[in-house]
Amino acid sequence: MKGASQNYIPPKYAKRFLKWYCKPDLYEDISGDIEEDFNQRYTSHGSRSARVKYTLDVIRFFRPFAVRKLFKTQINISMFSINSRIALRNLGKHKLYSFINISGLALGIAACLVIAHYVAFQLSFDTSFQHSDKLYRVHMTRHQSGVNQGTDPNVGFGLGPAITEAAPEIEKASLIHFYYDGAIVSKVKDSIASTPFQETDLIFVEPAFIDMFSLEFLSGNPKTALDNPNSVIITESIWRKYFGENASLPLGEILNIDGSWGERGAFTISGVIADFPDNSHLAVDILLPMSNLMKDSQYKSDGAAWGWSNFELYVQLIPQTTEGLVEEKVSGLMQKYVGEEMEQNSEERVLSLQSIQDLHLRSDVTGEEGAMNSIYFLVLIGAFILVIAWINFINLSTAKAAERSREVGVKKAMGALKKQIIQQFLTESFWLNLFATILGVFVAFLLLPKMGNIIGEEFKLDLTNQVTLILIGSMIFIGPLLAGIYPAFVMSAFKTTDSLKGNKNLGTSKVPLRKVLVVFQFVISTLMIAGTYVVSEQLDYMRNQSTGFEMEKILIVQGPRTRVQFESFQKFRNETSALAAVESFASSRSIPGAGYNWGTEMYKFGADKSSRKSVSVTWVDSEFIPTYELEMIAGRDFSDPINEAEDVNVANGAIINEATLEAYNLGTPEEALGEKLVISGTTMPIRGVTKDHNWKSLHSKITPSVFMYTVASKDYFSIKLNMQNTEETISAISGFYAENFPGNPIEYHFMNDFFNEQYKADREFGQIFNSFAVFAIVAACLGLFGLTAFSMLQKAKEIGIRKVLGAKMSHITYLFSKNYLVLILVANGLAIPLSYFSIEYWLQDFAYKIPITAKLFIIPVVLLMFIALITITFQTIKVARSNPIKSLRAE
Amino acid sequence: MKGTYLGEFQEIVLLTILVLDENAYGITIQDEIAKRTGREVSRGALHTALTRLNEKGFISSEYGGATAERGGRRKRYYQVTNLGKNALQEAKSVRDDLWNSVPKVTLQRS
Repeated sequence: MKGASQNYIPPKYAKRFLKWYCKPDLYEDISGDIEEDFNQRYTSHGSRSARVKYTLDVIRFFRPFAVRKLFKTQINISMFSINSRIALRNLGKHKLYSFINISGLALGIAACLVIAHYVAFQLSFDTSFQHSDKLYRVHMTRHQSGVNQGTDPNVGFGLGPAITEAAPEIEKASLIHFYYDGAIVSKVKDSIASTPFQETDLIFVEPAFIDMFSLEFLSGNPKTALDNPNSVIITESIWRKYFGENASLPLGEILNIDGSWGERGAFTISGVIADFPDNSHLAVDILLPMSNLMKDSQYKSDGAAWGWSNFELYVQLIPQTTEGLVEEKVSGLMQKYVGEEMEQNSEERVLSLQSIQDLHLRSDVTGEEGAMNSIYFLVLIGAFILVIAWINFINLSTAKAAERSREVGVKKAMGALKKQIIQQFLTESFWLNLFATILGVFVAFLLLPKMGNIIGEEFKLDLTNQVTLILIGSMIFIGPLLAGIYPAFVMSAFKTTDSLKGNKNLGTSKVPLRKVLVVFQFVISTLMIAGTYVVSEQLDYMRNQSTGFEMEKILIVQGPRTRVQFESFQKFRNETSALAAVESFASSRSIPGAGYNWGTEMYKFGADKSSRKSVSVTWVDSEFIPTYELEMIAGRDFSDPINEAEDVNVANGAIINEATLEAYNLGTPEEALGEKLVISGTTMPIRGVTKDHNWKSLHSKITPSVFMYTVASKDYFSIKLNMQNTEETISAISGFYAENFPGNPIEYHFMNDFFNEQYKADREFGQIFNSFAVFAIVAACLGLFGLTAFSMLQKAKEIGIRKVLGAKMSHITYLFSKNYLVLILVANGLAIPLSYFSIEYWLQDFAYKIPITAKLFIIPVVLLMFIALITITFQTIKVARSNPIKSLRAE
Repeated sequence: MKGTYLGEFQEIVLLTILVLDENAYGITIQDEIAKRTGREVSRGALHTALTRLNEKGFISSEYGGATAERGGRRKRYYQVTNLGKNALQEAKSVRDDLWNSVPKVTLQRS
């Protein structure tokens, strides 16, 4: 035993905790024991050990026998259980009412969960890298004679070193270059290549990229993995794809990569990384060293560093600086390096930075803006559906108020306080919300994978997700308050005497609010239907709009990625053209829906150079224009080309579209034939003019574009079929393809499918919008159904009397539907202007859009009226048909 | 008999209290058990047993002897009641009886 002087202080919180939970009669000796132990241990083992032991002791003593009744609110707990019992009985008694309430709420909650999941996924883009908040992409905005020509991320590779020199705040920088058009990749083992695959997500990067995007190496040295120009880093999935599920890490193995960028041939695997996150704006499967790409002689010439602008540049800033500070230093950098050229062309190029976290939804790049809007849209829809469900709850509860007024009256007469009545109804609301949440979570669980299918992501309900948990928590605990507080106050405010007298008009005196809420529900429903309708109409319109060229009959075959002999190409073309079902065969360097080949500047020969404007160029062969049935409005197509010339481009001239005529003041099509154009410094005669056609999706306007002649191209083969024996023809073509271009897997589409693929995002939006619109309408109709069912029940006697006195069924139906029809009409009146504005807003994104006609409003309104009418009359007819004796017999 | 049944651990606790005689309180019981049986008993487990024993009326307790070491709090000394002693006796006699009934041969280890 130690003397009294050895007295140490035990951990404060543990001591307090013990005092809090321990039974008072146990506390004195227990705390004494523990403290005695503590003091002994303190001298024998030291302070730390003693304190840990003390805390552990306290925690381990937290056992049922030692714990006092912690919550003094025993009365509340028993009240809660009594209230709960009443609530559950009530729910069981009014099955229809409970069903409508719970299922409506569950729909709302499910919609919210699904939307929250989707939104959380969208917002999570590019946030998972260790340095996400410090990574930026460099953007360039071009102004021509003061006119903004748009912003894009394309820069010359000279900017890489230049930018780090200009701003020391840039810690790391990496140029990247995509492997446009993809590559053919195969595993090489003992000089034998295995089955090749077509890969699209290859990317050239500088070594700094590894650190910036915190690539996680499963094998290989991150410091040196990209040092050798012939090394390659692959992701885990690629490893499994090429080397099998159970293969060992393939460090040092050889991949053969064949395509149009960098060196073709053998690359040694120098690293395997964990899969690049799905939620990133970059898609990366295979990383190649930038040094390999730069070996190409085209990058060695003078001015190449600023002229070849198909690079993108990512920078990582030091933590102490801000985006604005660095932007200030680099924005004028182009002036320093290519100022002279810019001045000659009277253009201006301004650099800016954008955080990678914003690239997915808030990109500055021209044509990519506004992705955030669909997120706002969805959040709004989710909120709407939930509000509809809560309104159902409020409406039904207040409607039922009259029925329950007697219960409240009795309670009050027995001395219940207003507070207690409120508590009772909140408890009821709590149970309803709880059941609804459980059901809603279940529905969301079933729904999420389907939603994932629509947008091509794997979605499942993740209950460990913070957002999901918060949402579920607030549905259970805040939901009941929001939905239940108003009905609870209404109920508790009944006057005891009135309610005991059986005054049935108690509830109905509150009608205005209920009416307002019904109107609100139907405004939202109308908006949703109108939205769904417009989206589908616009999509139909775009799909069916004539693009100006043949789409149905053209089979697109992607050309071989590997280098091929011209003879093989010719043989393939001849064999294919010889097929009975093939009408014609064209080759080109791009096709509609696949973008242009070259974006450059052009001006009319003889005009001032400062009148330069951007133009897009595509190379096609002599068969292209007839195959696509593009209409020539002046001049000739490339049917009689000159193949032997110093410059084949100039010798054959350019074929322009109508938009070019207008943009460059070339006069009428016939007049234009006499003019010449200066395209990126080369003067070229105009050979012909085609009618405007939609080379890109109908989101964008038809812009000035030029066709130039090429003898042949192996990029895209467009084969026009007569659509007889199509399957056989395609298999024959596949056979020729495999024979002539060994090692290239064939890929083909029909032109219309390929072109419409551009509307994928719109289609997804439409489908998602559609499904939630159904949710909203079902929820609103459930509410309406409940309300009518209820008021019919209340008026059963009135109907009985009317029937006995000879009222017709149609008359009764009309009489009781009338009220709600008026509400829906009012809702429509409000919804029409609202939907007009939203439709107009949404359509802004499309260059070619459906006109906003009355049809767009009438159809949704009529549809909704119809649905509502069915809901109401279903109930009214049922009651109107019932035998009046039944309702009149009682009393 | 339900309620007066003596568990193995409870038996040890009772015996330990008897062994300690006048000086049986939380810590000493714990230490004594540790010393004699080599079992590290947690305070919670011990007090669960003590509570049960108290409920059955096998032990009684009284306060006494506050020391500064205990932060000025009193100790709770435990004694075995007559009922407890009876229970111990009974348990012992049941065992003895069983032991005596085992044929000698069976006990020899094969």
